Amino acid sequence: MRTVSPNKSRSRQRHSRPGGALRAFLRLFALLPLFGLLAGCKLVVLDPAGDVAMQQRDIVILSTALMLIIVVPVLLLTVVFAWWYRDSNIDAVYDPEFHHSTQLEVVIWSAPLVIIVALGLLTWISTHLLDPFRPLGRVNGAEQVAVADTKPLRVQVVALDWKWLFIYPDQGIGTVNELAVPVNVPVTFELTSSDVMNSFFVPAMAGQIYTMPGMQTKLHAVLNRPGEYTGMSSQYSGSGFSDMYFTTHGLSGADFEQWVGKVKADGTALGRTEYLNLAQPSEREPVHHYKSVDPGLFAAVLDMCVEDSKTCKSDMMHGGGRRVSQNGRPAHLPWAERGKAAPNAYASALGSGVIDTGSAICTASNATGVSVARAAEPTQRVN
Amino acid sequence: MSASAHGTTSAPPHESAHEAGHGTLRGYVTGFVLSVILTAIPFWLVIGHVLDSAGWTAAIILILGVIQIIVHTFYFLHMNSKSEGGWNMMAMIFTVVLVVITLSGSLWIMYHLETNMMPPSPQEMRQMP
Amino acid sequence: MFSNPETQRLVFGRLTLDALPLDQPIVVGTFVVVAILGLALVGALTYYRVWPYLWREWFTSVDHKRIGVMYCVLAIVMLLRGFADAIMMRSQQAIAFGGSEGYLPPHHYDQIFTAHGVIMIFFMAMPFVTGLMNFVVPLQIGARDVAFPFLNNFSFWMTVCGAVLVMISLFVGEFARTGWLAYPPLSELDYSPDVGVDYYIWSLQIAGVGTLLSGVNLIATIVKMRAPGMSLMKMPVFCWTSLCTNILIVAAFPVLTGTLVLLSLDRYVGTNFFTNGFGGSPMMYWNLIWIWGHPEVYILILPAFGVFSEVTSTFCGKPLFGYTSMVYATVVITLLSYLVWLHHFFTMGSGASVNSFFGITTMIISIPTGAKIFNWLFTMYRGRIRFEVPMLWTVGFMITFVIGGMTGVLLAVPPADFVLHNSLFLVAHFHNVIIGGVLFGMMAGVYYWFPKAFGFKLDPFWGKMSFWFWFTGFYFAFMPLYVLGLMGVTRRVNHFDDSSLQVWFVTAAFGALLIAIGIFSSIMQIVVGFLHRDRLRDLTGDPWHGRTLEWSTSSPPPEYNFAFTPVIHELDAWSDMKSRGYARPVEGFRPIHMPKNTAAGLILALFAGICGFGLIWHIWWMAAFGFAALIVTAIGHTFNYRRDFYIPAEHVIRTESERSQLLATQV
Repeated sequence: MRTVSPNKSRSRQRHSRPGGALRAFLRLFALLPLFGLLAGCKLVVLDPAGDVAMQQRDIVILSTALMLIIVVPVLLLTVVFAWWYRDSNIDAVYDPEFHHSTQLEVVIWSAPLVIIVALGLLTWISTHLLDPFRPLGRVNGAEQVAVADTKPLRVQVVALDWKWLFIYPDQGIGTVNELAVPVNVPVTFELTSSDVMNSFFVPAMAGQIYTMPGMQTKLHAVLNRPGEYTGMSSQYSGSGFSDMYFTTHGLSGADFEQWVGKVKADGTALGRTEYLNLAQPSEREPVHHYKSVDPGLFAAVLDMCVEDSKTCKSDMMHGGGRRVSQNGRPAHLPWAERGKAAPNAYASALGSGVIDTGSAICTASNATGVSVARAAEPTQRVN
Repeated sequence: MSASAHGTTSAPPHESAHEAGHGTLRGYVTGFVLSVILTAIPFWLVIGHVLDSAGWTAAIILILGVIQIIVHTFYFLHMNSKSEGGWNMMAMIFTVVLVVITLSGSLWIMYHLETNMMPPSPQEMRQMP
Repeated sequence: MFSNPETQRLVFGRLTLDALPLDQPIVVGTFVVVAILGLALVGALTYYRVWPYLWREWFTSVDHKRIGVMYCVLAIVMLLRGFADAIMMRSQQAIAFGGSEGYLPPHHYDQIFTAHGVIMIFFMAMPFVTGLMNFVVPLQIGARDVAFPFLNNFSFWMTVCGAVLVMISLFVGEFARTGWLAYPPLSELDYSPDVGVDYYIWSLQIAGVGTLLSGVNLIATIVKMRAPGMSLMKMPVFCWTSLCTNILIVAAFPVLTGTLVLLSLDRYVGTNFFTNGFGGSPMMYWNLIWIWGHPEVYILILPAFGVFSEVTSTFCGKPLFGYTSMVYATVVITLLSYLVWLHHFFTMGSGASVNSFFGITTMIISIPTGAKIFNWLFTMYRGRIRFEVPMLWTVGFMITFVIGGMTGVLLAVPPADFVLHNSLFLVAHFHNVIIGGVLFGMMAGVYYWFPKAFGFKLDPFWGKMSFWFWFTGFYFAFMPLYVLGLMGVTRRVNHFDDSSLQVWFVTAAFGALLIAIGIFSSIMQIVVGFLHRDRLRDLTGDPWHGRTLEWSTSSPPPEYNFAFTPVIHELDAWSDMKSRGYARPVEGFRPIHMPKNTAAGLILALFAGICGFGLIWHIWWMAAFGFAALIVTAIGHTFNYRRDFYIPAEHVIRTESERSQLLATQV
């Protein structure tokens, strides 16, 4: 239905040049040469070296492809409509009564719905399969190596200010800012942080997981190709954050044993005192090797009581010092009992035998209930 | 402010669309008695150590609290589906829905987070190599 | 100052001369420039005796049109400050390679990215959308003002007060170095003992009060003050999006307020809500702040959607396609936005069932959003599209926002998020939707409604320049960031060792430069428009052949908006009136009841600011004084019974007949 319109609105000079939106689209083409740069750069998320990251990459690509089914037509229609129905185009039909169409609405709502249902299924399945807390079902998608054949490697990770401590409990060694894993061996990471939140991320290997003080997160991953890969923290944690990188070495089985030997040979011991020194804020920490690590150290870090004087978090959570149980459940302690001393489980394990006061409650001598431990906490941060 | 065709700043007109609800003595007394009962029960539960389980006690207290909120809303704030042309009830339902989403979502999330994050117990830790 | 340290602490709290950043040349330089420009501005205003006019006509005004404009002015000023932060970050990241530390030490850089986020969200985007809604909604529903005009004025000044506190932090003390959401444990006293996080807390709390009250105000306005005959389903779509936006504000901002109260209790009183030990849970802060944070971004985008609906139907010469479906889509988006917040912390480890639930709800939101895009498309279909500047912004939005939305749905898949969270891919995504959606919408809205507000159009040449530089600048600035995210580069990093990344950062910096030209052009469109205002004059009040009620008034409208409240019969009320051969009433004018100006809002906000400043610096007497003065003023103001006046009928008659005569010359 062509509507003849008065001359006034047809005059060209009041409106922009025809095809304004088309020009927009053409300008985007001018950016295409930039994509040539992509060929030379390392899009590690799209070309990872670990099975978990590879599956995540597949999800990224598949999801994008599903969405492009809708997005590409929308973008095209936008450009086409904007250009064709510009007011200087006298060939275009002008139909001001066309503002409702049930058929079109059905399509408009159901086409994206179908895509989202597909995407939703993909999400549900992949989220469960790729849950960082879930042990690996397979080691190498391409070579179909089953997990049952290989003994997993345990690595305990502590995010410090502003470096990473890795403890290998089965090998009894530790490192700072250097992670080595044997290729095609599933790795179980147990992660925590010393004081603020960080996020452990080796893009080539697997997705990231937050590291939080007093809490343990888990990540299951595997590297399928030897090489050197970058690891980082991806949760801002203070002024040294920008230097919080570490190298991840993917090594063959034999090379890994060699590496372990090297660490044992040139490393120092890591006990509580050394840890407390390490935990002091510092930036651009060089790689350290530790030939031995105190067996209770990670547990103490996790429980936030590496210092003798601090109350362990688990003791605090269970009633302030003494865990008394009646019928298997924690009992209510009379107020007078609560100030009594209780052994700090980790201090005993570490052999220091120091008695922990376990007091977070007001007592006669500590009327405000401020824990002794809190006053001793370092509050100065290096800026 | 009220420059439209509706009334000025005189006494509120008694059109049904604007009725905010009136209280009656009976309504207030009923509400008061219910509130007292709903308050007395939690106190009795706690002071009298009626239940063995602290968890159940807390749950009952919470439920009675929610019931008391509803009592207050209907008997003291005169919530009904007619006032303000149904908008009051709509706002109430909206608020309840939002609070339920926020509370249940948070409880669900925090429960999962805490479960996943919980460090091994001290006994387990001591047994680790 | 005082020889006795005790007295020093009592009088000045922890404020000392060390709080002045005299050792940071960039800040000192900024201060000098700001001081010179500020003094020049104040001097000019004084010399030309503009203060009484400003005070009487603007600062103490309770007129929604004035307040709306002031909100937009605040937004533009804060855009300049926030963009300055952006330019600094882009330039730092473009040069800090291979050993070079750049020119911004971490101490400064970390404040910049925090301030950039806080300012852009709270003091640029929020005031911008609030300003547009304030200006337009009463006009579109045929009302004379919002439901609570004094509250409106107060809300505005509280927002200004929050912005002032943030600006002061640049020169006195420092701002937070935690990122724009101030996550604990980093934001707790142990790790941020300085005033930065306190500036953050109090400026947001004060501005938050303003926003919350504004939300209440606009809901009451839309629900209660529509002209007779304008049922909800005959309301312009912009009013629907405003209603939903303000419902979100009222639902979400109390959560922000509460969470910040808990954080401030931790910092001031020693409670342990979010600390590392003693039963605190930083994870709970993340949970709570994102329960606010996700609705917040929908608060920003829904008004922009409303603008695009109005602009599209006007400049395509057609009613909006699928009005009912648009309304339902808006409502569904509003409800769903409350069910998705965990997607901001998938990587915290809540487990697969929680993660996938929230991922799926996030994806579901794309269905109504997609429906809206399609509806705009089909409004263009078989329309007659005039590419005035607002329509350019709209087409630019449709292209850009769709890409940003796509990357958003990608990030909603938890396994994909695990490799892209907190990377520059994420940064590119949210800038994609905020710039492509919110900012483009605000630019379109300003150009569209400017003639209504000021009586003349903006300069079209500079308007187009502004669009093209913003559009291309955006792509140059943020497409490289998508690539960098896929290369595994994380956000908030101030220097890099891998030189192969530099080309991308330089491209991004070039994009920022283009955007700077875009901002300059946006300002020029106002300046040149003003200089050529006689040529660009809008004499009819309907320069764009609009469809909604605001175009039935003069440009600018009289203080009372409508001499007679219109009676509505159809959707697109003004189009309907024009097609029925609407004749302006020429007699029967009555005196009009109006609210008076008041300085109370400004004074209350001033005291709130004094209280905030005292709390930040632990100057307890100042905080107590500010708070007490606030309460006394508020109570005192309730005894002010002389809040209204009547515009005499003669004045109305004169205004209306002048307009009738003017209109007669235009036909």
